[in-house]
Amino acid sequence: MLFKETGDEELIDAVLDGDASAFGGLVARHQQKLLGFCFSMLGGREAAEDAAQEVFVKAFTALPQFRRGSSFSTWIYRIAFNHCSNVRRGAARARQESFDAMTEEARERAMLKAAPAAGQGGQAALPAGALDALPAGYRAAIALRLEGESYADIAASLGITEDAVKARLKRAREVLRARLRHLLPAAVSKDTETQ
Amino acid sequence: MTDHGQHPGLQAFHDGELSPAAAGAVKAHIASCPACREELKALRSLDVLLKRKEPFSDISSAVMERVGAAAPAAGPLGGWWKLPAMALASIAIYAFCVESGLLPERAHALTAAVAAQREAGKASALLFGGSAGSKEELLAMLLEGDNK
Repeated sequence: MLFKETGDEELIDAVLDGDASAFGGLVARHQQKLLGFCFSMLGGREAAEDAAQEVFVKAFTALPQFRRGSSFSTWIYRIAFNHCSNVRRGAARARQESFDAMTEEARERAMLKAAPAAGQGGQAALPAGALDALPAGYRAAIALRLEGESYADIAASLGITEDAVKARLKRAREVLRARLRHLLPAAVSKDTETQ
Repeated sequence: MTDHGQHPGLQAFHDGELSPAAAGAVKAHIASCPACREELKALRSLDVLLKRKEPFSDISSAVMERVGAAAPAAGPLGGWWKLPAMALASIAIYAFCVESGLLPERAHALTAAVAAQREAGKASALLFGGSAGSKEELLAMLLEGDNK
């Protein structure tokens, strides 16, 4: 089967008919965008690759339940959003437990290390780190937008209305411009200082 | 934010979400509005900053290896439907056996009679023994169970 010339629907049909190799066509077609989404959600390449692999395996297992009304990409982004949210919750829990187990002195050192040294020549917030400031739903909206998804597809993937997508994107962009003003052109960043 | 405020269609214009007519109207507004021109520039700069610069590694092989491992147990070709299908098949076979007389209803009475026996040793001997006298006692128990 020539995967490049075959649509998602046909590839899905082939997999359900017993040709598991056809799933490779779906992976090849959607992996870069899915990896990009996972990277925006989790903030690291290795974490993104692990997550994307997990999401594809989950999608393969759940393929009989895929509803033909929506697109495959919308569906897989929904799986990815849930998966990445779980990973982030697990990581936050592990970090908290590790922090709680530290001695007072170790805790203070860890807090000093994590705090940004603003205006003191400290490391500037990198774009991926700036996304950490956003709640998961806002982060996901901007992550999907960065992958070129339409408002309608973002709404379908996240289970929200298009108006909610617009509102989340607007707010997310305001927060990000404030966090990244030191990396934006001077004229553009000027307005964010007054917010 | 400036006093002018952001044109309501500016974000959608930047995201390519407007109809041609609506996009044309926003474009005309931007041409005469420095504040909105700056805002549009800001949206574009932010996107450039956030978008990834390098492609990710190809994970196809890793995924297909895991899919291959997962397929026999839980892939689309097997898995979730097996247990309910086996349960239904078992029920259907059992019902067929009972209805056709292959599995006598007395099986229920035998189970009830054995469970009702106070002398566990006697029940055990009746079930697992084998003398002619034991079989007569077992039959009497079954009939007694029916009459209770």
